[in-house]
Amino acid sequence: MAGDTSELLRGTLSSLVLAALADGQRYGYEIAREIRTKTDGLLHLKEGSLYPALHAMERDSLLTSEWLTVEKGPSRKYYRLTRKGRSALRAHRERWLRFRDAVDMMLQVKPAEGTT
Amino acid sequence: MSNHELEEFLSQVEARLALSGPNAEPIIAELRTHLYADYEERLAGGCDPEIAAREAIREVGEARGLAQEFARDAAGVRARRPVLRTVGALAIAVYGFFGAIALCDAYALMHAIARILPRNPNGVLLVTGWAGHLYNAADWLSQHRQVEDFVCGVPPLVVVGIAVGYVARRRGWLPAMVPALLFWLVTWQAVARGKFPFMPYEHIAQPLGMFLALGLGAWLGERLSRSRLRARRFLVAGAALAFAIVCLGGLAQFSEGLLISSAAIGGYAVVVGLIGGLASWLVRRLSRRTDTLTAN
Repeated sequence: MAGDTSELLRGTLSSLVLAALADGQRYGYEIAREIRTKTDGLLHLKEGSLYPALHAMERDSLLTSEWLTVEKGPSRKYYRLTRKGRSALRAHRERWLRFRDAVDMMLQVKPAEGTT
Repeated sequence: MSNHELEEFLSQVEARLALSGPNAEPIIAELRTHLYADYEERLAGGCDPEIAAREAIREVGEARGLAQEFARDAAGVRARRPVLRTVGALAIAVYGFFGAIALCDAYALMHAIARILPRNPNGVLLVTGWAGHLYNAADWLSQHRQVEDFVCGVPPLVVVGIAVGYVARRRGWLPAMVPALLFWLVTWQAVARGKFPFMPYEHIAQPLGMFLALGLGAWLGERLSRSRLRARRFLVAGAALAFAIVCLGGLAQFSEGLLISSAAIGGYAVVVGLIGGLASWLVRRLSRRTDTLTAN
């Protein structure tokens, strides 16, 4: 994760995790990889940030988890969204769009610039 | 060989998390999953097993930093043994006491600044003494936190210290500490509940909490120091107690967790207390001498 975007990442960490779990259950490493891959490597979550965030979201009932054994390697703790987590993700999306538009307006970013 | 490296790393982390209570086990299990998944992916990419293991470990980070992150996250961090918990609590008490002396110096510094005292030796001593204390605090923060926490943590520490010292001089210690306490509680709760997502807890609430402890200790210290003899006895007894706590911490071979943090704070407090005590003594001596010279 580039140093100049780390502040932004902190504020959007839970949204990213919720989005990474939107397609189904994943374990911690997969979540980190999903975020890294989908953002072309721009967002790289540190384990020290990811796991505490996952645990906090689980405490807030946004996620639920279960340990599953796999054929090869140690068992994995899979996380998935709860109903509350799904509605939180929707809310995060709406809030983010409003926020992004506001910042775009303020920074006078034209749509073409924003999409590149 | 590589699996062995991974397991060795995990056992290091496990040892460091041992004091974090029952949450340590699932955390280690989850970390094991993560490490092995990363390792397997590197192997699948054609990486040498040893290099893959080393890279996976490097990616996860140094055990110490990681343990701190997880220990902070572990809900209800509790010591397993009541005796050790008591030792930790005692260390915090000692920290508060020595913090008293440190902030008494801050109080004196405010007084000195108000009278533009840096022109004479007392002022120079006070400023350099307090700068030394801030350097110690900064050094402590830089050793125990990440650099960004250190950078973000020190300014609030200094600002709140000056503000509290100023109000304390005008209105007394108690009126200065009550708003600070309320501010700290509100900030702490707001940050903990995610109201300030861009300001993690340790950037604001921890430095404030630290200064709050110093300030409350200062108020107590000021009351105690009205009897100079009693204050000196407290200083000696506190130093001995803190030293014993640090020794006990070392004997118990703690490396992380609440108790060792407390013991480390106790050790830090000894240094601060001794410096503060020495500075106060020097200032008193020099003040007397200056007064005498002026009188002559």
